[in-house]
Amino acid sequence: MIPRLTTLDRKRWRLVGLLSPITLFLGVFFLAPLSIMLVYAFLEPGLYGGVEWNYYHHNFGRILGWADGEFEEFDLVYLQIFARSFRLALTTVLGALLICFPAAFWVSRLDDRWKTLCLFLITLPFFASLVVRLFAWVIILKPSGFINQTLISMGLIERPFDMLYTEGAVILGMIYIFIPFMFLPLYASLEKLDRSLIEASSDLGASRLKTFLRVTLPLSLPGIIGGSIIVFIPSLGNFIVPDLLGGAKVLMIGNLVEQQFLQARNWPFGSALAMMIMVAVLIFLLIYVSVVTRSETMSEGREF
Amino acid sequence: MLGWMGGLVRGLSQRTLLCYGLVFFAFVYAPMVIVFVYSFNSNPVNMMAWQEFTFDWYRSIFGLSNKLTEQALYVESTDQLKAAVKNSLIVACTTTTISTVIGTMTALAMARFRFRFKTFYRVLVFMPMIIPDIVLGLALLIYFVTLGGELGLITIIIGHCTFLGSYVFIVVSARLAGMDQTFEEASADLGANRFVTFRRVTLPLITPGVVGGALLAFIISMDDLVITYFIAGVDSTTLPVFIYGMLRRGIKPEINAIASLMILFSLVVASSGLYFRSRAAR
Amino acid sequence: MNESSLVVIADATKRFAAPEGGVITALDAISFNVNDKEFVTLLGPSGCGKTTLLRAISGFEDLDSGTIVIDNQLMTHVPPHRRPVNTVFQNYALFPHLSVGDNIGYGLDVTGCAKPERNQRVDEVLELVGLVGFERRRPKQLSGGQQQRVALARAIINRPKLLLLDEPLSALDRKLRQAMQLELKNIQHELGIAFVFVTHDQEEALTMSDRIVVLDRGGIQQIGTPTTIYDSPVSIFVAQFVGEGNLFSGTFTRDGDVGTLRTDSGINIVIHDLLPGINNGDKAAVLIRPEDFELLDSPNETKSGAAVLEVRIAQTVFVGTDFQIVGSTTTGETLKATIRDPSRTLASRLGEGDVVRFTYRPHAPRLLPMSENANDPSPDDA
Repeated sequence: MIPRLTTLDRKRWRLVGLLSPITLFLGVFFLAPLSIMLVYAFLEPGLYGGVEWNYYHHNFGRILGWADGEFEEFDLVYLQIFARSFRLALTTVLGALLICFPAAFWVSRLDDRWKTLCLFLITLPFFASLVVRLFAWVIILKPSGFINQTLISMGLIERPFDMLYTEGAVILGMIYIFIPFMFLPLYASLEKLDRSLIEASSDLGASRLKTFLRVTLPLSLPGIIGGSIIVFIPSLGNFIVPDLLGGAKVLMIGNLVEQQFLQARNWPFGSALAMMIMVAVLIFLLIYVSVVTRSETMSEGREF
Repeated sequence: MLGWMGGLVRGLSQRTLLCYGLVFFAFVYAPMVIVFVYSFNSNPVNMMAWQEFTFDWYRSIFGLSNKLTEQALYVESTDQLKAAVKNSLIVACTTTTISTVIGTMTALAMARFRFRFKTFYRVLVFMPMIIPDIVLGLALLIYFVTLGGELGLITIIIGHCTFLGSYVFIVVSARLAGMDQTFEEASADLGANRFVTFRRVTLPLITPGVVGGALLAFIISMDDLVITYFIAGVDSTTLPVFIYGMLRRGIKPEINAIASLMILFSLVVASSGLYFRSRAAR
Repeated sequence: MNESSLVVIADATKRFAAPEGGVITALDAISFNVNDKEFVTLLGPSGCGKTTLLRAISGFEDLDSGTIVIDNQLMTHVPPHRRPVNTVFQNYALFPHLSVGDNIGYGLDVTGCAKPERNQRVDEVLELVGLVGFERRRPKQLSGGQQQRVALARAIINRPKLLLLDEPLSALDRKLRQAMQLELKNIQHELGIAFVFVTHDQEEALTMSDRIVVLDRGGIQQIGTPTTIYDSPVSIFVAQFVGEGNLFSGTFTRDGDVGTLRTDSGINIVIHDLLPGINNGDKAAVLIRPEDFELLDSPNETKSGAAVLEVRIAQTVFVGTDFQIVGSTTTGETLKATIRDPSRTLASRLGEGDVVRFTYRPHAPRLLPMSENANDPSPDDA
């Protein structure tokens, strides 16, 4: 006897079946860990690592400059590191944008076969190991590295430059690993950009600069914003790049968080810092979503 | 900056752009090429000063020769390297399987059903991808330690699956979006039950997406450093974590050789993946 | 209810939530039967519920209430794959990853048919639809008409009692469509199974069907043979939707066995077939088909029992032996007439702007009840 189920019932059970693995998995291993981390951010650090299960808001106080007010002096060191992280992440975004925009523009104007090849070549490095790609820059930038060796052997300089362990090296490294993230959204919006619009604009007497500023740039804005957000998010919390290319001199929040967890063993404070990263990222995402929705409603009827 | 842009725009002639494009690709590929070339440099003291061509570093990482330039550290690291590669492969294969199944199921649910919590699920599935990996890694670390679990391969596998399912979901969803549901209805109409329909119609049609998603998951899992770094136990180092550790201790010439092999490996996997996808699209 | 009916649909009702809020009634208490070996067409504009009805029969939609019985079996809890019906889908839904042969054999493969029998039956239907030699091709490599035949072959290989066809010809061009209409009809005869055919094309419905079910806004407007539907539509909607027609609205007066409709513009049209529901003084409409008009040659000629309409010609179209005239009466109505012209002399005699006199067959006018918002286009909810 077949169970008396209507089509609707059967559908509902299939849906439940299909969704339960992801629901269980993300519930148990994603939402629950994040919630516990949020709880930790408000707990008191124990003396020798570990935690005391008391409500404690000084973790956030310490980030903002004043902690328990007894043993610690007013100190902006954490805010300064936050500021530096923002600065480096924004510079990375800007640099990646300036490097990728002309390239994306160029690729979007190629004919289809070359386009496919170029896109393939852009995507490929993304699959190569991140550590290895950063390692490459270490051996290029270090005092006895590729650039210094080359310059010395050509007799252009006598003593090696200090390039590794600088902010510049960190920015360069982040730009390098995030190039595909910036290139692809830019390319997607430039590719859709109708060439006749540019021609129409110059036909109407606009100079090339004006055409670029008034037509090309605004129409590729969704790609610019999308790429910027996608690069900004992993840049802000990054700790691998500053660790390998910045050394102890260029600390970012990511390094701070890592230290709190793996060296200082102050998990509540580390959690509070991590939550700050999350909040910053979410704010930028919300801005992005609102900008995208607005540009979509503005150009209604146009396919995005 | 406006002046710079003006210059850029004025020089937008095809030739200038072509030159720029070549420089751009050189910037992207040169570092990897340098690593590859210098992995054959025999100079043991300064690896970036070219001496002569050698395979020694490759031989040494496979444990075929111990070129004891510094300490006996190399011999020791060969075993660790092997263990790390083995761990990476175990983790990548397991996570690929699990996340492909979960991601595909979710994609099917989202594409084929209408339900009330759809927006919630869409956000939920995207969250693991957009959340900074350091936050996810540490949250998992706290969680596992609080629950009293032991860090090891299992925790790494769980950690990878939390975000790789989402990647598979994206790729399979893209494939499903271009697929008509009437194929499944036609199959049911011809007498096939849900299971047979899935095996004979749905699965073959979404296979390119599933394979693409699985490859992506495999590569990302093989390469993940940040999350693994926090939730890997002492004995469960994966290849990226191992290399990261090596880099932190100091740069040795044979890292060049390992790095070159890793680049080659991922390029081969990625190229074949893209090749299969382009064939399947036809 | 007919015991021998193959399909019995009773009070089938289905409502959907409209995307913009509110409820759309896709099926409103639909009841009808399909007999063995019968060709029934569901005809109606888009959004009339015909596709929903078809999907309810094949099992892809649950009814909110009502029942569907196929071959004396209640279908309410029977999933699509267990129903003794097969469907030819609108866009064919041929499996792109299977060859033509495997597409056709699919229904046998999934039910575990033995290989030799399977191959033999595939060959049989291939021959029936005229596609022998194509079994190794992919659906993409076939023309639209060939794909259509594959879809048909695939649907009949399981020897269903009932074949459902969802606008199967709509993607084909006009010539091919007409050829396929005849072929479908032949195949139906050869197989001896019932067809339920969905279309919005009234010409197609008239050509092919044994019976037509005219649907509008989820309800049945009329069920009947093509001649009944065409000659005796029961509502203004059916009259307008099936065939071309001239409608005049006016006030009805009854006089013994006959009645008269005095149109709003003052023409008196005598009605021979009365309708029980329409009484003296009621507003009503009358339908005269274009081909029921006759041209009066001399200025004083009349015909007993039929009014004379003076028409100023706006357009004339020559179609074979017929001559189509579009014009307007002196009282302002637009009028369409098709005049037989075997001697091919009309073209030289009639020109735009000429005034001619028309009359009609006395029994042609068909009385119709006025229905509210009969002229509104139905909402597109398909």
